Amino acid sequence: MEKHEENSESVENGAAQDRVAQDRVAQPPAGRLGRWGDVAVGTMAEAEQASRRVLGVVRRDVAQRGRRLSDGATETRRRIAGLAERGAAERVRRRELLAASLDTALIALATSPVLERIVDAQLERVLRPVVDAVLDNVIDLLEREPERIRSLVRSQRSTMVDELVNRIRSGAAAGDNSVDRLTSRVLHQDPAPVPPGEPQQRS
Amino acid sequence: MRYASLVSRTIAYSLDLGIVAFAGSATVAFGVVVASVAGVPADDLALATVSAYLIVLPSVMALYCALFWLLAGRTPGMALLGLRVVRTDGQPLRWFAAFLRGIVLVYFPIGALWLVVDRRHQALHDKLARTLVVRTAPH
Repeated sequence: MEKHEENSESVENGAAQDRVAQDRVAQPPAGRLGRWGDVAVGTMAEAEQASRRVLGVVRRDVAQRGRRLSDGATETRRRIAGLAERGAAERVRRRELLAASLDTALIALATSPVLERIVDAQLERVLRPVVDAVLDNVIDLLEREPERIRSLVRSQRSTMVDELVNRIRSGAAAGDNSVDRLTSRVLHQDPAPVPPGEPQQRS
Repeated sequence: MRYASLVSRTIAYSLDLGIVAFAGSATVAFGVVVASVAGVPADDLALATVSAYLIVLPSVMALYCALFWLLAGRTPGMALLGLRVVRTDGQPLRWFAAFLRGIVLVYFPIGALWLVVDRRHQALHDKLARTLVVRTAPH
């Protein structure tokens, strides 16, 4: 019972305090100076709100312009890349064209009858006497010293025969080794004893 | 030096056999031509040719091998392969060993396969003649 009475008393006190605060707000400020102060504060608030709106508009505008600029830069880069690609392809094509033109020109020059006549004339004039002189010298040398060419031919022939014989012997030795390995593996044989030395020559 | 084994000896023997067969065939062909010109009947010629190939040619082969072993210690085929026939004590062959070896090799060639299982690669004719085949070329 007592607690209920205490609660009702505190509610009544809170309502009274609210009424006092409302009266204070509704009351006109004291004097003309206080009124102008409120006007100044209101003006400041209005200016602040207006500036916020202006700043918002400016921000949106700047963002739109940035997006537009970004799109433009991407498009520009894409165009530059396309131009570079086309330039590279054009460079390769022109190089091939130049090489083909050069080949055609060289072939035409090399197979031209005029050039052939010039080369034939020069060969006839310069090279043939040299070849004739060298051949005469070589033939004279061979007539004087036939042993030189004979020994050369003989050594060449013996080298070829030796090489063939060595190849046959190597192949046969390899075959022998293979057969020996196989038989020693199958029969579990020990290695063969050392053969006797070189036979004495018959007198 | 090492003992010569199956492959080298087979190649050498085949070369020698080829040489003898070529020479024998040429001789037989020449004999057949001469006999046909002389009017020998064809049956006799055929019999003589078969006899030459079956009897005379192996004997010629044995004689060829024995003479080369006796005189040079190697046949032409063995010389090409770098092989040499020696006695078991390393000395050159004597005439009896050479002829015995040649005859056994030619008329009983299957005995040569014993060299595969022998430690010193001695075939049957090597065992009988107490010989070895060694490789003299450095391979």
